[in-house]
Amino acid sequence: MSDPEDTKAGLRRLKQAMVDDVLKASDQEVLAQFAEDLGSAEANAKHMREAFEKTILLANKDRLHSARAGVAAGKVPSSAPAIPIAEARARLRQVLAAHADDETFTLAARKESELTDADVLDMLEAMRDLGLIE
Amino acid sequence: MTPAEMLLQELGVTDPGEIDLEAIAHHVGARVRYRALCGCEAHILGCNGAAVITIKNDSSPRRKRFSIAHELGHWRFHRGKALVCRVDDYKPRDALSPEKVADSYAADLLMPRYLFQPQARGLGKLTFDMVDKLGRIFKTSLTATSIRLIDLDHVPAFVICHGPRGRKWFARAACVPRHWFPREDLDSDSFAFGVQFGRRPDDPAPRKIDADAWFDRPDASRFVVREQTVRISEDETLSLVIVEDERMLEG
Repeated sequence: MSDPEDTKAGLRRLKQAMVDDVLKASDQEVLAQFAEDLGSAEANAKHMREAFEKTILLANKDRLHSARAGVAAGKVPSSAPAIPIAEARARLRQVLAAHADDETFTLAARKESELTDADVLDMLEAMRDLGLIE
Repeated sequence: MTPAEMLLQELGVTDPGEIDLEAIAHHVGARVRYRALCGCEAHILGCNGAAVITIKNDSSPRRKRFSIAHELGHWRFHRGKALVCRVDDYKPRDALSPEKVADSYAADLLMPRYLFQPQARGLGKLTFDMVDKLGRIFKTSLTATSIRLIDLDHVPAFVICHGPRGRKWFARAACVPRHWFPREDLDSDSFAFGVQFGRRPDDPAPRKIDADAWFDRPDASRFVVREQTVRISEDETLSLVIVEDERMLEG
């Protein structure tokens, strides 16, 4: 029976010889060998790329799950204090004017004059949520 | 890949059922809430990296989804700007206006190509029945789904919307040459004429019709197209006009 250490050393030398073989071969030789053993290198690369992309996508699902959890955790009813509508409209105009040139401020909505009273109160509530007004 | 599609991939979305717009909004710093809006369908208000998207609470579920996706488009492209706008029904718009940009983003988010195209291919020939099935999968309207199919060049076809006063808008697949331009007014020979003005029932499937019923060109009478028309609202009809004769696709 052979010494296990000798067997391991032999296997290491064989592995090194095979690696050297591959490294010495030209790209064409490697591709030809691959085609002979496993078929189209291009198809295999495409398959591997798809598998890789799929794995990344599946790993990214954690983000979706935590975003869903965040939505569920953030469902708290907000209570807006009652405010006369004229005052509410004046307040809204004031905030909009104050942020007219503010590059951190984003708004996509109808003009204040086109908003109904309910819409104005709602907009103020959103401003309160964002900390734009107290 | 478009910014909306990249966002979906960032969240690992691999199935249309996973396009959870409230979760997507949360991921980009926006909170969605539903209120009894009267003057508009939706609006967005943002400050620094946080935003509140408000959606009209009595709109249809598909309309709500479109509105959220549209506002997320503003959040992606128009941050730091104050826009006066309105969310209309999804329809082709001419210029690259902020509304068009937000609409395109919404279409990409609700019907991303990498999920939409394989599903569309699996549903067979273009008909409104097929569009409806696709719309159920992606929870999108018949109009938005039809436009998406045409915009993605799925089939050489047009989707055309008419009202009582004529054509309101149309979308044409990129593979159809631009000289094929649909008539302004409905031709009385078109099936759409009967649906629009004669209160005829919806067409159950696309039917063959001479192309000159749809196109005002001297050579149109040499060709045949397929047409299917359905009513989409009290005064609007939507028509699919499908080009099958390859000679019509020659530039």
